[in-house]
Amino acid sequence: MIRSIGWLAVLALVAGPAYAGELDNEFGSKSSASHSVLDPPKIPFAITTDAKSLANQAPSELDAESPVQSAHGGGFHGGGFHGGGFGGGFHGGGFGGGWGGGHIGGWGGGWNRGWGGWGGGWNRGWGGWGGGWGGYGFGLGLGYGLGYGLGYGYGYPYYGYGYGYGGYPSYGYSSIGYGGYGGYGGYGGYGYGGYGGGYGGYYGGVGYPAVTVAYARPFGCFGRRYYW
Amino acid sequence: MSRTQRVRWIENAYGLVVCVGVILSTAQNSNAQTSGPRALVDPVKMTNATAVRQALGITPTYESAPRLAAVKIAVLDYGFDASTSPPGDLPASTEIVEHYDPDFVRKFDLGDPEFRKPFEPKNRHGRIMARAIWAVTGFRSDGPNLYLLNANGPTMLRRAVRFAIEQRVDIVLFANSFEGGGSGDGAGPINHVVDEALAAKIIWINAAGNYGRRVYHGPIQVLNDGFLKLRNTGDIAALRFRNRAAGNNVNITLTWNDYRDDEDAGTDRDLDIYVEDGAGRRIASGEKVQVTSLSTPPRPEETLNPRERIVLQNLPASLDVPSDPDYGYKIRVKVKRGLFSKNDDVRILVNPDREYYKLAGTNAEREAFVFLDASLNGELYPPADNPGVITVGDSDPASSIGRLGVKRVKPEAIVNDSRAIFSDGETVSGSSVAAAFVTAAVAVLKSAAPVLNTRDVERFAALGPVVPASALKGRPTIVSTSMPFHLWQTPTRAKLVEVISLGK
Repeated sequence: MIRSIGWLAVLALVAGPAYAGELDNEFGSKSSASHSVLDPPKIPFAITTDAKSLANQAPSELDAESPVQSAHGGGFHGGGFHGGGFGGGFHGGGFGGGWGGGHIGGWGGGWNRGWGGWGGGWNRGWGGWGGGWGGYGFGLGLGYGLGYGLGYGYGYPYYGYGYGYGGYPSYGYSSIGYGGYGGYGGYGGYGYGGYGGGYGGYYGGVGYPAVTVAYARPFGCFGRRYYW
Repeated sequence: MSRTQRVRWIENAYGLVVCVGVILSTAQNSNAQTSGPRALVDPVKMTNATAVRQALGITPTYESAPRLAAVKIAVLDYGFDASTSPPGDLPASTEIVEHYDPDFVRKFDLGDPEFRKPFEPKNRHGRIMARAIWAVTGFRSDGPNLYLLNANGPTMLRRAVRFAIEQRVDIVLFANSFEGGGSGDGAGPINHVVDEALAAKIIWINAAGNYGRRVYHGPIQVLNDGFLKLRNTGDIAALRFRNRAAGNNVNITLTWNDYRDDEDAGTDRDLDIYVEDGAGRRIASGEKVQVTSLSTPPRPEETLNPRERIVLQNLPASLDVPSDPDYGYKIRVKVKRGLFSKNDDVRILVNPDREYYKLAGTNAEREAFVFLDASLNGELYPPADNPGVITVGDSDPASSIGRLGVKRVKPEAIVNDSRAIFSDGETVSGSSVAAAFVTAAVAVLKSAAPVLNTRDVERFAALGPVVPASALKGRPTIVSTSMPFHLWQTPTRAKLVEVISLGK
């Protein structure tokens, strides 16, 4: 029993520092950042911030700063909202804002997608898209109920087929109503594919059949749009 | 080993095991507490998305949005920190660009390829906006396609814009503004960058900013002593503000209409700004020397931009003197050099860190700061003042408003309730979030009508319910019946087709 008590005594001594961490958390750090309410108010002074000295590398004066983010944290204040702030807040003049207050250098981490991401990692490269939309719609406008038409992908030559988007479901104020909204033509290289679809009649009447022939011309040429 | 020795050995071993076990358990708990709350298991998501979609009119009309995966949205910001959420808070297709490829920078002449400005650590403002967009578009696993682009300053902004153009982004959300980047007339170097995106048919949605009741905007009228006339009554050469919360920090920014399309274009006109306390003592000044070109080597007091700035730290509370309405802090502006006419104008932004404080002994909150001579106009800073962008505010008095020319007011759209509530317990609001909500609504419309353009969105915004002046919570406005503000309301499909066909 005496030995057990002895081990308990050892335990109390060794476990002490672990509890001290918790106490530190409760009472906060011992930095001098806190401002006692008994301190006399400080006389305000102007800081004519020297943006240049902070922006030795920045190409312009504005680059030494960050734009001001336009959000409030926190909840309601009366009938409106008030700026609470979290981590310094997002209200005007707050987080990272201001002249000479912007952070320069600093954290060099990040997702690393930017490097090589452009024209690299996503296999897109210069000169247009991989993939994209083909297609043009075939939706006929006959009031509710026909929904999407027969959109199918025609793609553009260099990038294979995309998927088409069919006709937009048609609405009508009468039984006929709007024609279907055709699909979006595909992009061809730098060109612009056709515009699918047409608009049907407005109130009543027979809508335009939303059929188009959108085609994508080869690289570097512009497509044309057709309606009928 | 005798029996006695065995018993002693067992006792010692038992005590040692108990001792070690307790120490390890305590250390584990201690580590958990010193490292913060238990880590989130689920990604952070917006929890009131359903209500927001209904309030904006996205549901039930656009519940399906089958082509949303084809819509590309770029969120331009400098705060995309992801450390507070496990992966999954954004669509898997989201792409983030912090640094732009030097070859890309060279090809499009976007400044020094070696110049980089990273994201701001622990700042997640842009990420929150992206989360809000994804939520309000319906949490679809396939989209929209989000690009989170570094726009930390004008150079990064130019690169982000060019990147967005090359990626054929449909919509840009910029929930920021540059306080010293223009004079509120839609021109200046920041708006010049934005114009590139507009020329590429990108729909640009900008937060209005939260400078409501914090801006003086007026013509330049020079008195005999060189000070500007800023008011018509009392001390006509002074603007008044009162600080009720001791220890408040206040930023004061003076700009005037000498901005050009190029950054750091220089100016030959110089204004200085001064702040006095209630007793008339000068406590701060902004006296940079405006020049058309910097000296070699550049002197610290020189600047190429038509602006001055003062940062007042730990400002004492000013007294309320009922018998003297002029008593309080005062701002004065003086001409140092150059000729000004009444066609020139000046803006002074007075921005406190603390907006509210609690009265001693109560839970009642009171405004910590009052700018008595705010103009209630001209509160938009670039690029929110660009005539080609869709500017979005919310109904809070802090949300900026302004008049563009004589026939147009901004913001084009107001969101009545801009709260975004997230699963990690955070609630964010303001014109940023309002702009994110409208971005999501426009993305849904774009998915339904790929030919949607900025002009169409302006028309939709103008069709929304009129916001009566009384509903703009306690602030007199520049509203007139001919130029009202509108709440955003997503149009029906019929109206969508009607408006688009009118524009073709």
